[in-house]
Amino acid sequence: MSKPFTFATGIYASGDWESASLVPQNVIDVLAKYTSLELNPEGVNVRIDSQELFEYPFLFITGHLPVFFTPRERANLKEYVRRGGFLFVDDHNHDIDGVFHKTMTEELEKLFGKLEKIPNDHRLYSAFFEFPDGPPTTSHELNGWGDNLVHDYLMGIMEGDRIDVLYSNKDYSSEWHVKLTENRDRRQVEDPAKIAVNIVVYALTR
Amino acid sequence: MGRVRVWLERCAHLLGIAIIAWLLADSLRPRPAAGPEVVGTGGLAAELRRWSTVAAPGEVHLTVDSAVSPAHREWLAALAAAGTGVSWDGDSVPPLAVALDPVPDPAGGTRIWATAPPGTMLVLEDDVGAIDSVAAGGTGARFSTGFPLRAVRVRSGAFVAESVLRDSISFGRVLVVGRVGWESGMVTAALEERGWEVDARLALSPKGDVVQGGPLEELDPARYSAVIVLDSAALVGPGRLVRYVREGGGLVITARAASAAALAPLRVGRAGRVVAPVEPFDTSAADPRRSLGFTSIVPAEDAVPLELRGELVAVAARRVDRGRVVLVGYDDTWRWRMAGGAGAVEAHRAWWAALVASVARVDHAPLPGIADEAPLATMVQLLGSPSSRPAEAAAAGRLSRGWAFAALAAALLLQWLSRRLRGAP
Repeated sequence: MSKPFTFATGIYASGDWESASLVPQNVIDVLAKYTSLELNPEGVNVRIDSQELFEYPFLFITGHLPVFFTPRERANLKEYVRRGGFLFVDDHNHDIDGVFHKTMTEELEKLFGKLEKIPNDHRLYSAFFEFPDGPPTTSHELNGWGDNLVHDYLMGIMEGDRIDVLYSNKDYSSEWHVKLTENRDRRQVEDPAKIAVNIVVYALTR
Repeated sequence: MGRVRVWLERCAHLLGIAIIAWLLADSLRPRPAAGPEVVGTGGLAAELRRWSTVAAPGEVHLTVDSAVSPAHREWLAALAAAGTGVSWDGDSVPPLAVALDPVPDPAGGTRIWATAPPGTMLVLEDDVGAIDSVAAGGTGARFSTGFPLRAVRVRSGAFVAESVLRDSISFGRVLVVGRVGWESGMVTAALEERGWEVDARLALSPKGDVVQGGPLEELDPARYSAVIVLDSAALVGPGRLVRYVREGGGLVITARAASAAALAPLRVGRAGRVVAPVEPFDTSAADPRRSLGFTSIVPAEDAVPLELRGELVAVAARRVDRGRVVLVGYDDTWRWRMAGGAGAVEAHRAWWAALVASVARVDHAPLPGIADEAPLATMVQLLGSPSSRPAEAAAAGRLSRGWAFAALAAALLLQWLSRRLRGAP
């Protein structure tokens, strides 16, 4: 029997990795709702400095606080991505002047090189649902929280057209931390849960 | 004393007359052909030039003690055709032969087969130098390179066989059929990294599949060199797959997918024991696939086991009409790539590329070029089987006439001296 898709949340030594603990369950629910993927009904939390990390090719990292990876964490993440693992990092602050954004982007660029803006016609936005205008707006953006900006793009570490590391300033962590399909802001055109499906499907089909 | 001396002089005289008579009779007998000119491999080039420009001998004999070039072999054959008797011997000439074949792999590997007596030390070389060496087994030796080779030599001591590629190959795309998941994703990634162009049909939701490339209606060996079926969920119209294989297509299918009833004509074997995966992945194991879960295969009668895990068959193959099918018992090979430790990405990629290469349908285009692939066989074909060296018999004939002449001269000289010393006329 094949191993099902498992949503893994990365545990890192600094910061608050567990700040959006409901995200895995909600994303799994939405994947089950829209797709026929074979899914592990439970997410896992995995230390990014462990060998166990390599059993989960999809890794979600979030937090509000400054991030400083240990040498072992850095080495593991670099090797993880080289072997084909997909790293999705979301800034739980929704603030480009926030400490998580500054320290995490610095760590990622030290490890992988320059983060690039992902064009809004990238395959990520059509991997399952169609998002012709790029990443959907979150209720936090509409309510002016964080830096009071609507971030109309995601960023990534790219290898040609292929995204190896996806970085979001949109604070999907807050959006997905609540029950995805129930607490939707009426001003939102798109169900914010749908982009989670695209991200996972894209990671599996890059 | 004087009478004995006279008697001896008469004996010498009679001996001289007898020898003259024998020589006369010998000269009147039909003369046998002159003995062959005997030459070794080292002096062959110079002798061939002499024989072809000054005077062609009636018979030549070559003693082979090192490799004879194809040009010299052909030259000897031409001499034979022009009327010169050509024979050869060479007990130490090993029956070497070599052939090479391009691997259906965009990375350009080459397979090389060499035949030689068991235990013969073989060195594989190209123009740059030695590539590998191995002692021949019961059926010779097989080499594989992960890079393209246009020509190779196999050397055993002073003897050498060489081969050149006779065909260039071209191949189509690979189609991956299965479910959206890590296995389909990483197998696709491995093959794309290897250089294959990969299409996919992957089940994703009740609304539809992920489709990359043409529809399955276009499943044709001319378009797809190989199809990889990881899961039968997205296998629309398995009859088309059966037809594709029968027409010459290559199929790699997992034990998980192969149980579909519609695929019975392609069956390589039946499922045996299910072995659970090792978790966490054991990166220290000598066999990198030891940690993978798998369904063992009980091969059909006409199937060939390709990979064993202990007593159990993990990979098997079978020919189906013009196509080939490989059945893979392993599950989740992506774990090997992700968690298999140093070198696992490359090893996983090479393993999948080899599986595809073992079934892939390719188009051949002939290449110009000739090579000395089986020197001993060609020698026998051109000059006949080796014979014993005839030089001894020819020398004996020349020697006896020389001794007869020496004996004649000695007898006459002794008689003349004796008569002169005693004052006789």
